Amino acid sequence: MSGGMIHGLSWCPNVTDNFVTWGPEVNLYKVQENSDAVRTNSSIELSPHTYASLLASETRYQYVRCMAPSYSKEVLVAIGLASGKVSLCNFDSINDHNMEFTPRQQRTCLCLAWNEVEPNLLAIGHDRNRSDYCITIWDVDRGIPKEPSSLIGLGDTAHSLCWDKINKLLVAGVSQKSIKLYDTRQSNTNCASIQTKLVYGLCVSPSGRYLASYVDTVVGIWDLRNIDKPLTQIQTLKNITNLTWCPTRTSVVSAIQRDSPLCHMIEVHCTDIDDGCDIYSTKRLLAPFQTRNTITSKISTLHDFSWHPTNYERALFLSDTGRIIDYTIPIRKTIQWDPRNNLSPECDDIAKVINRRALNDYGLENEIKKNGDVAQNPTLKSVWNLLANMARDGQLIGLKKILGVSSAADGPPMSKSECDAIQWPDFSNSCSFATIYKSEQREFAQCLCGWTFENNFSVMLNKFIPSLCSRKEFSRAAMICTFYMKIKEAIDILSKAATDQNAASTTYRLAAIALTGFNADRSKASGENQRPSAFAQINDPYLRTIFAFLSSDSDNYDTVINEKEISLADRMAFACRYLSDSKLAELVKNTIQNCIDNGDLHGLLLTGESKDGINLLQSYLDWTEDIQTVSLLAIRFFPSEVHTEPRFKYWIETYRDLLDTWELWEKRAEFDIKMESLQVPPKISRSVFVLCNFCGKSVSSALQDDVRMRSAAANPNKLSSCPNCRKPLPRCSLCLLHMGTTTATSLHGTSAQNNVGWKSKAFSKWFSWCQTCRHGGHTEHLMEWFSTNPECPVTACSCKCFSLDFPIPPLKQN
Amino acid sequence: MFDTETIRADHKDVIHDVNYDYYGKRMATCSSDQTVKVWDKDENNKWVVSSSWKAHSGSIWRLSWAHPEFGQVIATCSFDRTVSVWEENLGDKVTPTMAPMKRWTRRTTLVDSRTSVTDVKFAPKHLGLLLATASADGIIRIYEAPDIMNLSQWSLQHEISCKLPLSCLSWSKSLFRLHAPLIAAGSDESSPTSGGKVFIFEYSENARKWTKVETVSAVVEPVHDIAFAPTAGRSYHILAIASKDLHILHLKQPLPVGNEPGTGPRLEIQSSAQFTDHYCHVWRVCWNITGTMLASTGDDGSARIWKMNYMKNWKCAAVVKGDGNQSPTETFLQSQQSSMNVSTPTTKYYKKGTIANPSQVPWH
Repeated sequence: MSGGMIHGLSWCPNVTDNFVTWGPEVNLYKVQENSDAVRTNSSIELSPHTYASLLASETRYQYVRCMAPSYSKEVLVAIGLASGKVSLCNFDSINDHNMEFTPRQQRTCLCLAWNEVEPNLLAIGHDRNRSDYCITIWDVDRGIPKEPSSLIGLGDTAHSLCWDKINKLLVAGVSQKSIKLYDTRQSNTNCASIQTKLVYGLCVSPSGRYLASYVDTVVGIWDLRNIDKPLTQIQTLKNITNLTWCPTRTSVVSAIQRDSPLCHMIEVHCTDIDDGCDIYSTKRLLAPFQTRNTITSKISTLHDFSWHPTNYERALFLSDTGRIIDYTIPIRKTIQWDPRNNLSPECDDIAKVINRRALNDYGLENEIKKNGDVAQNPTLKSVWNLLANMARDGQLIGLKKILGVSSAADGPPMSKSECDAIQWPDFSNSCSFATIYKSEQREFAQCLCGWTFENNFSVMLNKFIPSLCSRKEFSRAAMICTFYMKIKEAIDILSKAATDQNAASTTYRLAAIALTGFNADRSKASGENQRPSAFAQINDPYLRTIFAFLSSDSDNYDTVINEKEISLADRMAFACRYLSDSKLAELVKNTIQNCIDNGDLHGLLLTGESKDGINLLQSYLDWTEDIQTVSLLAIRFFPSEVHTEPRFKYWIETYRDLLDTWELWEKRAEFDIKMESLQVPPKISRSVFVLCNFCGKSVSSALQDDVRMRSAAANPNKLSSCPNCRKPLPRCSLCLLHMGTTTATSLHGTSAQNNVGWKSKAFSKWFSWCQTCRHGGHTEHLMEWFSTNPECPVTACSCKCFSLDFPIPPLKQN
Repeated sequence: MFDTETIRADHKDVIHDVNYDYYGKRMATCSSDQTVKVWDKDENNKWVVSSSWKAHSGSIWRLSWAHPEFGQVIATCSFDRTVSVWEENLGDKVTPTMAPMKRWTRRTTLVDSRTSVTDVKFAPKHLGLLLATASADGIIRIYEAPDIMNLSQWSLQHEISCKLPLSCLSWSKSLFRLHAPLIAAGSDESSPTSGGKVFIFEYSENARKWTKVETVSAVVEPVHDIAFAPTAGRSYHILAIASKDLHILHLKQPLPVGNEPGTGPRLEIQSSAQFTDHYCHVWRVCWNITGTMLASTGDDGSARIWKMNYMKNWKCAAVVKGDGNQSPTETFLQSQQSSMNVSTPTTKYYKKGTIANPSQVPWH
């Protein structure tokens, strides 16, 4: 195929993988997937996925002016020639139709239009001749048209033709001045005519209601039912050469222009109201031949275009150089997240994490530390461990409060501590002293930090340190020993650790040796500058800290305090021993601010359940979106007075809503129970009262008193009338038993003590009412009734109780 | 690698909107073919149409599910200038043994707009049964059903005029009591000279009035979609805007001074990200349930997923392009599964069709 030899192309409407091109020769192609078959020389690449192979070629038609494939099941093409002849071609050399229609007067054939509903009807449009008709309707099943009924429009020119979809109405653009509608079921003279210049490119929408046409640079959209004037006119940049309504979508009309690489996609939206029609149209431009590489060079202009008959995202474009592409038309797509979609295992999104943790009862374990294991996250694990140390009677008291640090500059002074100068005991030749600070508050603070030995050395050495060693926290144990100036013990621990089969045993041994030779005096004299870099090379942060501590100036422990790899708790416990009151206060305040800025939950150690603590939770939430941890911490560790804080309600509601969305009802209920159990019982405990229909007095309280007085063996069904007015209680509308069967089953949160009747009843035995018609009965019976009946069980009541507020259960899953 | 589940939607024209219900167990689609379809999962976990009906006499732009607390309720808006509220209920019993059929009934038609109604959204549940609509005449209308058992009665509570034709709106999702409700609306007016195209309105409980608190001047190109992220407990709002670029804004709502919302300092708006990666207009945006991932589609038919890293920076985590060989009127459910890239989330898409080479086919 040489370039420029193709004048036009079209898909075959009913043989959807075939298309026909015309020019000096008429060719039939089949579109195939790249993987399908072996290519031949005559095949053309259409897209990265598809190519076209030549099925048949006809060279006998000269000067083809127009071409139209029919809607028949087989390939059949009408070809209009410059001579005015119209040929039918089926590309079948053996069983050739080869029918030909020749007009009486020789002039160019301008347009062809097959009828979609009756594929045997072909409308032919010719140029003007004053003694001949311009439109011929050819029933190809009946042979060459001769009878006058099939000839229309004497002395006119037919610029374009199309059939409407229903009525066998033929629409023709005639003599540059009018659109005419011929009803072929009636006599030809009977036609509607509209004066307009928009006579070219007539096409009808798939809905059959709208018509489009153009002249020069104007597209008009018409309502076929009311065709007096166009619904709208749309301007294009250059002269239009092809206008086509998308065969599958009423909302898109395409137009290509002369000498332009751009295809106009005109979106048309109409209201199908019988009286009057509203229309809205927008244009989008498409450059099918533009690629990344051709952005700078000239883009091929469009020559012809054909929508795929069924796939609206697909079209063939023909460039002026004769190149054909099978083009995927970009469609605007709508998109939506499924609320539970991101729950597949590969996903690391927080929503997935929260879901998994919720299923594992994260945060609901009574033993606080266990929750850290459920979290499967080292940071959260250490936070839960921290909280396990801190929580006292379900309360969190922060170091800040214990130490009495005030945020305000002129606030009350923090609790005073006594200071002590202690000589380094393990170095006999040493005369250096370290200043330590002691107070009851500081000891308590250390306790909260996890140093639970209350400065009692024997407890420390006999219980605390061995427990650390048993958890293989050797270097940490050594560090704490060092902080308490038990260098010997530290060396022992490290030596013991070194004998242990351990990856770090060499490090431990070296550290032990270094410690043995460590002299507090000498270290302080040696070169200050080299040490930090030397320490930085020690990988174990605890060992690093040991040396940083031993070599620090008398009261400057910044390197220890700022050692980020050591838990905040250890650092704060250290600070409680070695920092002066003012420095400690400063440190506490700075650390809190730091934790809030970075959303570090470890800061709870300092803030406790204070306002800072709430700010800290919010900051953590803003950083991580971990609404779950925050809600759980809030309900577990913050007192119920704080729960009225709007932010608390916000978090808790948000988390519950999340659980609701995932239908984790049990988990949500467990969360609610946890929240209730940790709270002071609310003052209003009862939310439902049962009143007698007649006297208006509460029945439920009487029922409960009654039960309490009776023995458990008493028949709970006995009460069938109001204890006040002796009128009968309502009955279940299905079993007709009195509602006395619900004794002591009011929705009473704290009725645990008088639950004699309660425990014996499952939920299904409870009473339930329709809030609209007020009829009701045992839930069990009602559920059974409504599983097969839409209406209320009470005779003559047509209330559709069940569908009123119960979400209709969709089809059962799995 | 993308796992694609293809669903034949059998809509006869473009699907303009798809929405899940609160639980993600049902979905609804609406189209230019003037029909709404409701989808449920069958016993093989495949989506099947459980109801389909002609809902309007024009293209249906958008739909919205009400919270299930209010029943199975959908609102639709259309080019035919109306908004309809639909409720699913049980039909009359056909046979004694079979459960009655479910069907959707029109409860009301809201006809206040003189022009195409471009968006409709139910308010977050805690505000009650409220419905906000945006229309091409530039008016946001807020309706309320005072009796939630009676969905045929809706009263027009507020009319907010924006001067520019509106294309989309979104309610803020915060459950924080001290945050006054917000509505963000976008305009698809095409001239950049008409200024900012995103407007933010705040409701004042005391004045019982919606007031415009901000016009986002950074967005002057036409806006096609706008979405507040679920807050997930955050102290600020995140707003995604689909315009020429994809914008992500952080909105810090000041806490009211003296318990009077709206009297405090102004809304603080910060641009968190702006992306041109689509190389074309962004068409739709939507959030996952925690507001940590964003999906967007472009005019070229491609979709992108954005993810926020721990430093609060947004990164494109995945690009989804179709293979281009799909038959028409199909919706694709894509669940994207990456075996290598840990930052790639797993998600599902509902979208119309696919495209082979989006980079080669820019719209102009």
